[in-house]
Amino acid sequence: MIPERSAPVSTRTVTRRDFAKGAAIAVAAATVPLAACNSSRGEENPEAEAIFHAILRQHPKLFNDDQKKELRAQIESTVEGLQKLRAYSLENWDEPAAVLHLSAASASGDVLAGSLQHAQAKGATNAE
Amino acid sequence: MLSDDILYLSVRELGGQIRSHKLSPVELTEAYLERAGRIGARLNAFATLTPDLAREQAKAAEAEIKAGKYRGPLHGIPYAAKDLLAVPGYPTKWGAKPYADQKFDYEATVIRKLREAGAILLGKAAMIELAGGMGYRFASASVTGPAKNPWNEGCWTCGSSSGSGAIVSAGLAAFALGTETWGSIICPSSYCGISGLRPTYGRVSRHGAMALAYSMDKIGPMARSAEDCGLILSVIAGFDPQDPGSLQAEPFAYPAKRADGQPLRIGWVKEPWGKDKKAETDAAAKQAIDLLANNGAAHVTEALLPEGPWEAAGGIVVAVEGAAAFGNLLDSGKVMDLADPIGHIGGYVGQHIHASDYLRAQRVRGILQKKMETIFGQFDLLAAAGEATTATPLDFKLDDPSLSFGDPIGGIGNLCGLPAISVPCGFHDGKPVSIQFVGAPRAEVNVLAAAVQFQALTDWHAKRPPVT
Repeated sequence: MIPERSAPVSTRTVTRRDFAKGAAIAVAAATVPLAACNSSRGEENPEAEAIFHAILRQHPKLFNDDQKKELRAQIESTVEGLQKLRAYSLENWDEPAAVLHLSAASASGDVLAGSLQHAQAKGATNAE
Repeated sequence: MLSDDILYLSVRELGGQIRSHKLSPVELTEAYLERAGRIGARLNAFATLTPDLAREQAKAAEAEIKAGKYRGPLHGIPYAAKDLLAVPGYPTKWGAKPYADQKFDYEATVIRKLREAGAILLGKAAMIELAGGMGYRFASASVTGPAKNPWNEGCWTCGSSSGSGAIVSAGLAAFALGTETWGSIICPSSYCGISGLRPTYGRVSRHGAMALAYSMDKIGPMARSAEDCGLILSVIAGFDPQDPGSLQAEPFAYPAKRADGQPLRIGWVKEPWGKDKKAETDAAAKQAIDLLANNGAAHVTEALLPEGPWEAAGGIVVAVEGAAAFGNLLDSGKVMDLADPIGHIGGYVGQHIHASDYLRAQRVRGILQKKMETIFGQFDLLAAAGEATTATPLDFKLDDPSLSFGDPIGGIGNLCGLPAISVPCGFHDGKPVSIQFVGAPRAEVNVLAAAVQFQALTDWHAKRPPVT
């Protein structure tokens, strides 16, 4: 789910299948063996611990012990994804793209030429 | 009763026989209903059969066609719809126990369009609970149990359009509708050896469909051929003011010719599963792309995907939007009634992702969209194996370390709302393998052109699983 080649924080692998099967949720990337998700590991990540305790405060009776272990694993996986995301450099003017945006040219139907022209016009310097 | 040879015909072939009065929609519907009741039950393929509605629609279609009123290529064609699409009078369970009694009094736009085209609804296809929106670890994450793969009933169909994959593959309907937020059309199509089209985001109205991730959900056809996918898309596509994400584009027509008529420029994706990951499916997909190139249908060169935290961004978007979409379920605690242990907790984590991180993911998405525009200036399509694996055993843990690899092409494609198709291109250990083609926004014509040309050169899509 999280590309290892761009991983600035961790080399731990996480599963693409959580998405490929349609789960499509970062928090479900619980490939970490449960034994690795004990409290000592959690204490190494204050953000994960904070989220864990916030959820337990909000739902004090909802989770049994096994679910708490799963919960901690999922939080740690999610925090790893967040850290990778935060490590990516953004500029002030990088606006959110909430949904698909069509370039003017592609919207007019000439998708291929339009894509190129639009990219050039925008100075798409991020191209690899 | 009609033979399997008839039931496995493509939509185009069935339509031709129906139009020329050689095949009765009523007989065809009865044959599919019988097969769906017998084989579909064994495969856990359907959430609900709709025999009364199907017979009523079949009789109406037959009468109209006899009277000379032929509505088009889907007239009299039986199909199944994923059980997250609203059909009045029938349950819409979203694959999940907490919604097992849910009914809507309105009709999803795609169901209406298919009804108006004369298609016949046989039933609601089984699916992974909430389309996997809360996460899942096992194939059994569905109120209807694990969907069994017609090619090997000890294996899974993949999800979340699990029933749709089984139905088309096992010849229980002529086609099915699936949905994809990330992988849910491409993966079951690949595992089940069928053709599945993920349209551009906004191309097909989601009005009346369960929401998982508002900015990434898409509805598309799963069928026996790429040509069928094009025909079906031409019926279900189009602007809908009831869907805020609907594209205000001209209608999609099929068949459609590419403007320039030149060989497709296809970028063969290096490392589609992440760095240094070799997949058991890569060899068959490479043979497929070489076949297209050697027949002059495509000019193929290697392509590198842009590097960046695209999958992480996509994961955050889906996690946050999914937690919002199912907020009531989470707040009530009824999420504990889901079948899968991961589903009990995943949504609560999504609720605790900061707005700033969600916006950062959306900003990263904006950068990726620009990068992909540049890539699609160089290529008409990107191509890779449809999946890195073949169908996994029913009891397989989906977070097993052996499946820990990236999905950059899926992540990028879905985060950017790009159209893609998966078509079968061979077998590995007796299970289907596929190739996928990914296009620029609204370039379904290119995606379909590559797949149709490939299927004109091969017969993988005509293979039938050993179900009786």
